[in-house]
Amino acid sequence: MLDAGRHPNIKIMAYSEVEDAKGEAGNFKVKIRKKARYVNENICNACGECIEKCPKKAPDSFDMGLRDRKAIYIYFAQGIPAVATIDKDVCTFFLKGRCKLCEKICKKGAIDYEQKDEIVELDVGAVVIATGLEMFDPSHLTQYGYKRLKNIITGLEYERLINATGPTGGHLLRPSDKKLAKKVAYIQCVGSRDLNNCNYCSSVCCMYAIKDAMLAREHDSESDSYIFHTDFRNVGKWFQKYERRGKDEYGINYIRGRVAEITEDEEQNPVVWYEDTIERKVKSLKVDMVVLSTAAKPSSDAEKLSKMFGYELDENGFVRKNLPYPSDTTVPGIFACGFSQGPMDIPESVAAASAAADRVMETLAGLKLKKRA
Amino acid sequence: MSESINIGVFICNCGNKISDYIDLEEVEKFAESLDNVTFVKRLPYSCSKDGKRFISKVIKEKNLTHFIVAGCSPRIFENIFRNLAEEAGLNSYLFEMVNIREQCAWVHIDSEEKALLKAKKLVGMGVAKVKESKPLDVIEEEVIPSALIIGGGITGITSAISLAEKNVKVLLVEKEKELGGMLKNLYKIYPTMINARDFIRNRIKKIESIPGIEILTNARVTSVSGCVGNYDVVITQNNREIKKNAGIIIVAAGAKALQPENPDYGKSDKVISQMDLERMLLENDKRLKNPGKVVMFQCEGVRNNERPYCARVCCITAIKNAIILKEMSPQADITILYRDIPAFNEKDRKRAELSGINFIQYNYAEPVKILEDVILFTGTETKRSGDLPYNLLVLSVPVVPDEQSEELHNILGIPLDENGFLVEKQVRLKPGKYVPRGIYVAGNVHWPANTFESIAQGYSAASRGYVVLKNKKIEIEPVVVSYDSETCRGCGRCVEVCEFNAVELFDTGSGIKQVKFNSIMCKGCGVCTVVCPSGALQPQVISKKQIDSMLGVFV
Repeated sequence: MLDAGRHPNIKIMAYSEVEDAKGEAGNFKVKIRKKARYVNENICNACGECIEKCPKKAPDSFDMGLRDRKAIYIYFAQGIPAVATIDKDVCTFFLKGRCKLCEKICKKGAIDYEQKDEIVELDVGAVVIATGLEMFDPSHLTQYGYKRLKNIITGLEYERLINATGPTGGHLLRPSDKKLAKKVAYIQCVGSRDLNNCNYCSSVCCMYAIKDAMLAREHDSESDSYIFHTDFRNVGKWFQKYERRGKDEYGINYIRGRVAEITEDEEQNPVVWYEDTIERKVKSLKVDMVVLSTAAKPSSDAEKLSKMFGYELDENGFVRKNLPYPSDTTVPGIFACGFSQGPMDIPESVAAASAAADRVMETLAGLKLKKRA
Repeated sequence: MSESINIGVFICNCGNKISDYIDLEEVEKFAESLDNVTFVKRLPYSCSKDGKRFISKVIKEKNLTHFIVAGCSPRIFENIFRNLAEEAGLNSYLFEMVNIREQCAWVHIDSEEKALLKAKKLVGMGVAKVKESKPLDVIEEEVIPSALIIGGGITGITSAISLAEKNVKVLLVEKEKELGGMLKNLYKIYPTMINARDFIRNRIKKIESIPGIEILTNARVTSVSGCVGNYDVVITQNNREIKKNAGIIIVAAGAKALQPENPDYGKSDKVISQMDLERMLLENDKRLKNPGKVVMFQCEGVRNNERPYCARVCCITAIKNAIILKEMSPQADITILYRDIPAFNEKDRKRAELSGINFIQYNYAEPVKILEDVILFTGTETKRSGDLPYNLLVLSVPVVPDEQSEELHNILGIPLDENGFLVEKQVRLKPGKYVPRGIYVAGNVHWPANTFESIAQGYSAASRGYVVLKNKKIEIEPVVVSYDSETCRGCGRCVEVCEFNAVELFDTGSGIKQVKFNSIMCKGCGVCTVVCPSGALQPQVISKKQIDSMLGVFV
């Protein structure tokens, strides 16, 4: 991210959305809405003094709502560009017309309540779609009890809890009573491989569940982990080795079985009811906390973008891939990479990104030649 | 007469991320007390626009000759401050970064006292080191605008086409007598179900139509020397040696399908491998007209102690061929006997199931026995032993490394993993980057990959290689050893220890031996400087004198 941020040939427009696109390979006109931050990006140096003093709080979306941020905030510490943004829907000034404390505090005069969304029109030769993924919301899968039972969280929420800079300082404190969760169950394929929801395997969850369980053990040598899986799909480079390490060195219990229901006892301990498909028995396991490995799905804008640019999506909503150019979409001059094309892990995404960049170069060079001829 | 030394020390609060744990005012006072330190300042963020502007201004106004920044890890920001030094008119090697965050503040959260003591020592050592630093220049080398691609499968072909279309001269070396790799032995490509042979033939036609691509078949790369920008390559073709040059090398040497080691394989034509089935499909074999009971046995010879990995493509190949077979002869009774199925699109498995293909999971911990016309196994869901009669038993074999992988490992110095695949710098964090600069690895030689992934990796390698080739010159960091021919006694101990062939012993003609030192090949590891008895080889970036004075501060 930092490399991209400081590269002289890369201009980053964060907090911006593509609104309209016209044209063809070699000559696209793209309309971009640069959303108002109410902070001048060129002046703000992310010193954070305004954030410290801001009196208004709102749930921190980066921390999955597990703690609050202020109405003026920086999405996350390492973000590029490092500038503050005012959340208009929460800020006292925008709601009630008074406060302006941040303006008084900012010595540099970066606060600009008058800022408006800006429409930027760009001429570009090619477009790369890298819109990534969104996590599946498991609330409507009532059997898993997400949002209904307190000590049931998603994989991404777990990531924030176990993170040293996260809301609990890296301690695995369960939501109901902030007690250390020692016995944790991980439920795989929540929403994935499910004809009614995401009819594909999200491909990354088996590995992140193992990683999560290993981290729990590293933080607390008494922690116990249970991963309830369907097939274990650890197919990437050295993944099997990792899976074995999880079992042999970290004592993770792998249980093949799909979870039917999660209930809770009087102390709000989740009880996982499952069929052990190897022993063919219905069993239950009481744990301190449950982590749902939720499906990853195409970003919610994927469909809008595909219509705007005119390229095709596959039946799961990912950008359709074809041979011999997997980076190309069905529209010449528009390329795609990463999770927008379907589930893939980091190394695969990096390879896909370089591949898309290469196809862009190839296409633009080809068009130049044609023009000259 | 020496000019005065003015050292600047910039101490970073890092927001509060350092100052919360270390009393930086004390560190500041300590730094001010050090010899030659003429300017000290605490900054909220040295790396911010304001911080950098301030440092730059001070360097010029206070005539700083050296400076250090005490803050975070040099991993990311060292380069930024080096550039800043150059912009302010100071050689970038007269700067030193001192890590008082990850290696001090954050590991001593429990003791402010210890953290302070350590921070002072680290800053003191930084100052002692930078004081002795010498200006160094980046080494520039010419880049030969051509690429060597090892392997003429779909991956190598993709890289070759991509580079040639950008006017790079390409030499493609294939060990077999024709291009095409694994794909020429396959029937259909999953999931688009296009004809694999037609597809690869079209790509071969395309590559043959592009001028600027030289193709050598029946050929192997037998030796590589030199470095990024200028590799000397020897290729052996029909016992004849061909010498070539290349600026970069792409390794797309592929892998092979395992020849089943199962003793039951080959006893009768009823037990075949998945690759045999591909061939039979290609040849429209009569036996597939009415195959009767077909069992596909997954994970043959893989995911065991000997090959503890999943070759990822065998399950989708089995599903693909089962669907094809079922379409060809709907009366066929097909069962896939599996452990886990990494088929990522559920639709295809569902489609297979709906068309009547059976999926049964077997317990790999229990023995599986192949008899003349029945396979015995233990099912996981029944816990009972099962038996499946067969007319055709297809062993789904994994992708395994080719013998050439080890050869390439020896020639190019790219490490192999325990399975025999080539390994990048860091599998998760630095994908696509390899230890020798200017060498890129793509496709099955790196890890089993399907056609789509192989092509993406082929493009990816070409794109990374092109970044080097598009410039006429390449910059190499002078983090190397310096060599003094005057003091060298020609003992040759350095030659014995150098891992990178950067030193070579030669006869000056009068019986006196001397060392030829190649700064481009040198990686600056410094091993030679330890064994050199005369001190002719010295590390440039951290000299013995620097180490001594740093130790002086430490103890």
